[in-house]
Amino acid sequence: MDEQQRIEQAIRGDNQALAQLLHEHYTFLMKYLIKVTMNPTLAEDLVQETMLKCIEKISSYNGTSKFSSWLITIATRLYIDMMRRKKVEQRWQEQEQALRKVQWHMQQQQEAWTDAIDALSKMRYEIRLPILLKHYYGYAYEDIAEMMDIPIGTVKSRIYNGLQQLRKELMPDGTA
Amino acid sequence: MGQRNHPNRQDVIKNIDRELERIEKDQEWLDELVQGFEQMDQVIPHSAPPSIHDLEQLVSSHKVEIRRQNRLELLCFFIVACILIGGNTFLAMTSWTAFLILQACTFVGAITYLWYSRNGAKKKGAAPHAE
Repeated sequence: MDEQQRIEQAIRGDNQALAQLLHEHYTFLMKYLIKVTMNPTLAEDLVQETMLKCIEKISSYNGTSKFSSWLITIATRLYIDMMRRKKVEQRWQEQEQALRKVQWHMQQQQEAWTDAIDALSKMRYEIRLPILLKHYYGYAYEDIAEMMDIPIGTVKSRIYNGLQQLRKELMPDGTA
Repeated sequence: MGQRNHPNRQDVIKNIDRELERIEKDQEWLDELVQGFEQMDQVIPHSAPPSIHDLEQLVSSHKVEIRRQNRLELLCFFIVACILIGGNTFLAMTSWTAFLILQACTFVGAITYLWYSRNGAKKKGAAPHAE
């Protein structure tokens, strides 16, 4: 059975088809949220919430976007809502702790904490998100605007400012 | 004092578009950025997906919970509707004057609320810096 058939069955109320879909997209969603949050614990919580929302809203999925993109949209909006509810200080403290944990894990695995990862981790989530969606997942500006529920001009300016900031960090000698 | 010339919003967006096109041509640098994301994928630990059986249980239990919530909301709606209709009918039967005063107060309150919320929405949407 292909994905389209499974989606149709899930929309009609087939629990097994929906469970299969969630199983297939779990790792994709988790990897996306880890890159967005840079916090594996938070990413896991958000995956759970996204799956619950997906179960709730599956009947309204109309197939205009890919199922994975639909999941990404739900996860992105949940994350933005969560971050808006938290205080800046609390956000900063949690992020610091999570980053230290990730750094420690990478040291254990003898993996280098590269300049690129460092620069991305220092970025605000509002900036990191559109850059990730544009340059890693290859979404169009219009799609990103819809996913983040912001105007397209704001998406462009955030990506532009973020890339400028990244360039400065990665190429401080101005070779860019 | 002369008025400062602020760049038009359209010009700003056009400039950003040009700059973004210029940055996107620098493939080598963007590759480094993508590599950073790929590294994060590889090295940051993440949990394995739950079994299909567990997910099926999650799906069915959550659907039961949603149905329960929907029934509760519907019940609340009917209770509130009954209280409002019953209360108004009782008032109309007891005193027409009190009923009319209540209706007038509700009408004025609703109009005031709508007027304030409309003004609030206008203020929120206004962006004078973008002029």
